Amino acid sequence: MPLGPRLAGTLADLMHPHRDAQAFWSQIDDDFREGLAGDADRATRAAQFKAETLARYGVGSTDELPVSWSGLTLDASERYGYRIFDQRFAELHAARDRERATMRLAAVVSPLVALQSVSAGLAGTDEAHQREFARQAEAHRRIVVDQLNDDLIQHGAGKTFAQYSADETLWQATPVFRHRAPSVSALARWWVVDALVLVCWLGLGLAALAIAGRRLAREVSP
Amino acid sequence: MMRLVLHDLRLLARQRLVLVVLAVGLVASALAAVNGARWIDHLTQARSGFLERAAADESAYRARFVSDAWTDVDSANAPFTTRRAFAYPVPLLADFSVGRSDVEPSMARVRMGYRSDMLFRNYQLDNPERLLRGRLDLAFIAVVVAPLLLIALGYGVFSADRDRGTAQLLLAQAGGMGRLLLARSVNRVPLVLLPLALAALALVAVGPQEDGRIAAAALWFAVTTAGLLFWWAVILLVNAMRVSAETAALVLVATWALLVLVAPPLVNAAARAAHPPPSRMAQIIDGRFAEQAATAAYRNDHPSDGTPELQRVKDVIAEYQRISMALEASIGPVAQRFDDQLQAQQTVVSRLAWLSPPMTVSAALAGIAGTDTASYHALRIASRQHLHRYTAALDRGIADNRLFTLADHDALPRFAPPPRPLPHFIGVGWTLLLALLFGWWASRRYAAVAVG
Repeated sequence: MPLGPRLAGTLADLMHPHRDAQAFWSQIDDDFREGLAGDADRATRAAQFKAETLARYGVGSTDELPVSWSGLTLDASERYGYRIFDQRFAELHAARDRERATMRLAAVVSPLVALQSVSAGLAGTDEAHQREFARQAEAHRRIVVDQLNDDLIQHGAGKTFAQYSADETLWQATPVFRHRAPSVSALARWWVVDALVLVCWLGLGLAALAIAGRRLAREVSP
Repeated sequence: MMRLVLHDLRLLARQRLVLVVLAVGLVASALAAVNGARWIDHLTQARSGFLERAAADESAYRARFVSDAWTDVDSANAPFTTRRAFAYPVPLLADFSVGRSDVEPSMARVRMGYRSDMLFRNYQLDNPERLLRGRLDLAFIAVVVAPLLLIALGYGVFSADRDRGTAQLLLAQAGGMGRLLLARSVNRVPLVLLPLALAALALVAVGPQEDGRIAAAALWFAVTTAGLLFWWAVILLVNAMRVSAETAALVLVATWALLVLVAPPLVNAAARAAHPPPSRMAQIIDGRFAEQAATAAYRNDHPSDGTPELQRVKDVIAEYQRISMALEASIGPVAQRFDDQLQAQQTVVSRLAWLSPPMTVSAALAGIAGTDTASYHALRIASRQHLHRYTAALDRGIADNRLFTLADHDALPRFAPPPRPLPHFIGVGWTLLLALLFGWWASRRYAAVAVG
């Protein structure tokens, strides 16, 4: 890999601290255990949820609930997880966006950096496309998980996990994932600045060509 | 001879190009050294942070185990709830050659039910765009930038004198072609090596103080020198041809582009074409089918209705263990095929790398640093063996249908890294042989010029 793009990565290295994947996932574990900023810890959240649920159904214990308590707790845990993942991945993506902006600075010394961005963006192989795919896949996963939990809530009352069994209608109702590829214009904001940088480089090249042409013309003229 | 060397040095010092070369070398090496120092610090911090968290978790788990709140059901569940973390050692010279250390996993937790092909999870968070562009390390400077600087200093080492018509006069003053070229070589090659040496010394000084690091750094620098000697031999050979300095520069830069920029992706593409990478998704799907089959087979053989609570938990744990072991056995060949394919790719890359000495030098540098493919392959095999030992240790209690004890917990195996594979220096030997060959060829041509 030539120097320009590598310099871009190094600039990002120097200006933004490396993220440690294990620390990131430990943070998510802590979020579940301790709660997000302003939220109570897991035990308190569980107690609150139990009290709210009993009050909502007007019963004295979870055994008296007309729906599955296991299903409700699973559902509540998943929904809290959605909040955690949304927040932490938004932070991660914001950090990557900052790195990307820093890497773009290297386009001043090498057009290759901008060329790679535009090329990958148009080919659909850049991070924007990957992120869009992940967003759709995660949205689909949440639909499926919510359906599964909802079925357990509705049909699992008074049953252990071993006794509960979903029937065919649930699986037939589960949607099939279909990826909708984004249009070129939808993600153009990711590489439009790089395209402008390339135009600037083209302008510089043409200017250099014009100067060289004029000098040559002066040299050969009698 | 010394007077000749000093005279050439004085002439060299008057050239602005020398200052530019020195400045570029120093700035690039300094940037690489800073980047390398930050990288090895990141690896060290991430490793120690992970192991500290794991030790705290293990300590807390052990405290629960000995507390009054711990029940027999907890003991029955313990094979599943207990975990052991491990981390690879930080590569010895990851600050010199980042190599594969920014893409390979190096830390994991082992627990019941883990498969060897899924041992490392969620280990990569780096920006893919940044990973794609690579990191600026000292190895990159040594293999890519330094040869260019050497070409800038040496493209006209003799052809420029020939262009000016002063070659014969200089030869007469120097007392022979050999003395002239030796004086010029002695002044130019170290000028390019100097920034690399300073950066290497700085990294040794500020980096982790580990046994063998200084010797490895010295070896690393020796291989770098061998790589640059190859380029100097090429420069001398091109200068020995009857070409102008401009043509020599063009030929040398084209050779550099071919060997440094074009050859590596071509070799990798050839290896991928010869041995297409297996589909990871297919491997995952195979694993799912194997899991379903193992689960169905076990449950068919072990109906579990009407058993008391404690025995039921033991049965669930035993079921999970048996299914996991059956799954590991059935997924083994699939994982092996995956590994074999990657190894076959690597073999092709290693063989074709002989076409490009800079590739062999780069591989040797990564080998010395412990960031090459072979080092990570050895660690991967060791981590799988560790998983198998861990599973076997768990299985002893489960097979006897007894409760998991604190002694069982404490006796669970810990990861021991394998000895570092010795780097291969055959490629470096080949590079030096080529350097000698080109040097000999060049000397023959220069001898003819001197006689003429």
